Amino acid sequence: MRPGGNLKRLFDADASVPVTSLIDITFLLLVFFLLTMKFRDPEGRLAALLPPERGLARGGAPAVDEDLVLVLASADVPPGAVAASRVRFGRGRPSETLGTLAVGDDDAVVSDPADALVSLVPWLEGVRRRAPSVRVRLDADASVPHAVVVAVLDAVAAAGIPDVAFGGVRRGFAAEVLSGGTPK
Amino acid sequence: MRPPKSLARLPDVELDLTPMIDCVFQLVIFFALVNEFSSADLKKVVLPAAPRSVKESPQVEDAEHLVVTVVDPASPPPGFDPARPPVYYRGAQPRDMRALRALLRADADPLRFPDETRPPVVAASNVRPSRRTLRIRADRRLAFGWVQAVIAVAGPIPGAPAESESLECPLLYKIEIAARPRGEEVPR
Repeated sequence: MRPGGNLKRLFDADASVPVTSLIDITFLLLVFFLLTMKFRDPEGRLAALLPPERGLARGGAPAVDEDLVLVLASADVPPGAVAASRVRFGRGRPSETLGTLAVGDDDAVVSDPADALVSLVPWLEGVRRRAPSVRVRLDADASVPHAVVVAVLDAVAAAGIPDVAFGGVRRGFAAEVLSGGTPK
Repeated sequence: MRPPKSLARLPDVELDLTPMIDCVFQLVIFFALVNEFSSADLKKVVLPAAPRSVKESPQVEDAEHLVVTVVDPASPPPGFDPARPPVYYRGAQPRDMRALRALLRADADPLRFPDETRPPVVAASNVRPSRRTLRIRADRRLAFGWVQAVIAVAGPIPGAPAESESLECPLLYKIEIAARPRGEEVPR
């Protein structure tokens, strides 16, 4: 059926969409996005878990035997040291000291006296070979620089140990923080 | 003045705008998607170096992550309130760590995002830990204590009543520490 009357006039009319305003706005948007665009820097990530024993039922329970507990504790800064901070790291409590780390002003974790962090990786690899399902628990003092903790996490990742948990928070720490205290 | 006859004989010139509009729209959509709006609330911090850290696209991940930034109070960002913890979440400093915990609980929402691989936190209830991940971006110069504090409030408090913790605790077990992967220079 052919359209008639008003519809016929409508179909016969020369219809065109005015695109000029659309293009104007689109170009404005394009220029805006071009000027404001900034790509976000990709960040790395190191995965960890809360310790399995940090549950509601068994809060504060000690680590199980198969855990390897790495302790990071602040050590005295020797006079004249260039490092901002020194950290002793060891295994378990009371710890067997594996070495000391120092953090330089330029972010680098400097090992002292030997390259302790580099030697940590083969040592951890040896542990993993002996116990493939080993879990690492990282106990760090509140005063230890975050860069050192990340450096040790990085060494654990380099040794191929996927299961890392944070622990070592003393009893009452969370309650202190929640009541407005500064973590220490 | 009338145009010369040779010009008047030229056919009507029509500019086909369709492909250009297509391209411009493609560009607009591209820039809108890759723009940094989603991370506008992320404070700039100098992350510690970790050459073996897994480098992934944060844009893709952020939907599943709760991102907490811990700044160094010694070099604070503009608008930093020293009376509050040096912690930013959703682009602002929470009033205190209790307020941060409440915000994390609302977003971790263990009832909506339960981790089915973990047992219920209280034997009698069906509340499981959240499957969402807590990503902590902390300044390299910061003492680890504030990172520990964020981790502590994100999980259950040892010794607290289990029933109240299952209602108030964010129950975040999965933690990621943001770092600078290999090849990333220290920003000056």
